[in-house]
Amino acid sequence: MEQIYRETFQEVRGAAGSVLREPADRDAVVHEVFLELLSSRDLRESHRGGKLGAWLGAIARHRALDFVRREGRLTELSTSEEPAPGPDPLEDFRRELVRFATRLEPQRRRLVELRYIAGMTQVEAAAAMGMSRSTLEDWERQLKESLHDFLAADGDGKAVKPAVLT
Amino acid sequence: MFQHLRQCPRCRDRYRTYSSLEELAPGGGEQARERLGRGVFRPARRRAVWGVGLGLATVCAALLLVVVRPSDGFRARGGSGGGAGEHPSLSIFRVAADGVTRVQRAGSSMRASEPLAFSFTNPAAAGYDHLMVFAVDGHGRVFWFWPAWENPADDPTAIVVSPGAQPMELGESIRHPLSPGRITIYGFFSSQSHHVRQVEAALGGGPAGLAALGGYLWSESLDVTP
Repeated sequence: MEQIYRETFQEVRGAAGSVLREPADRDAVVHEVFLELLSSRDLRESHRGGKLGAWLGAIARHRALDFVRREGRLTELSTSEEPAPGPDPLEDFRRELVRFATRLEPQRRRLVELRYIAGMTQVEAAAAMGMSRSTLEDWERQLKESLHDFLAADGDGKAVKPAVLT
Repeated sequence: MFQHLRQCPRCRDRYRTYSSLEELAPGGGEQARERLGRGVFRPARRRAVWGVGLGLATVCAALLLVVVRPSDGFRARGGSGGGAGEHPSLSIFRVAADGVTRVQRAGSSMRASEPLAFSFTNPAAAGYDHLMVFAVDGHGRVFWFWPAWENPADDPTAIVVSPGAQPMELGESIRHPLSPGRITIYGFFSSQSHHVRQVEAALGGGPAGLAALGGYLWSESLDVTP
């Protein structure tokens, strides 16, 4: 079962993420789908062949749409409709991150660039910056908190606020 | 955790920030897979608390200062709540495990493996703005649905609910490790933000013990089958 999880995780997460922009909601659906797969023989027996990832992805998408409908009724008491398309939330987040980085002192900005824009590992980034990995990890921890505060305090954080898309 | 995230904007914001950073970092997908996998394969057990001497069999509705509705079967989704238009009410839904979350009207029994979902109506005239949903089984064990109680060190409070004559769903289905037998599900509406420990302490003398906390207690019994 853990092997199936490892092999299909990205597909399931991608399917849920195609509907739910909010990471917490998307991951809640992913969690729900795999938990159900693990605990429900009925679900496992309903697989009629074909690629497991595609099958689980379809389930995740249904779950995500159902999630949207439930949330819609909860907040608006209206019959929900198909969610409207929207921009890629990760791209929105990346833009916010770049904007955040411009306000940092040069070394911290470089950390953001190396890790989250150039895509270096912690070991690679630490070597490039001439510091130990543990120090870099500590900086990252502080950075995450600062970024969180920045996004929470800044009204423009709307760009990464939850919404749904198909 | 995800149930908490649904109710806590601050934690949702934090999760969004951290999760997005994780996705941007190299190997972030694998990291997310490992992180979420821990919750799937080694899930934190939803706390099922043993009450002390609950003695539910001795409960007599007539003695309750709070209202305990007699079991009258499940109401339809969006129902008005058993004809008591001025009283809040709860509806219970079994969630079928066929691959698509199909919320269906519940019967008078459920399978032990089935998650439950809920909706509520809360007429403004009743004056309640907090809700707790929990179940008590024949052994006196208490299972919390809303609020979630996953960490024994915590003492979460009732969820805040809006008034409204129309049914509103509590947007998550929840599964508990129920044993076959009869359980009673309670919806405790109150104008105060009670804590779960406070409610469990009050339940020590049976549902009548909740009378001291004030509010309105809705209940429904159903049979859990293997």
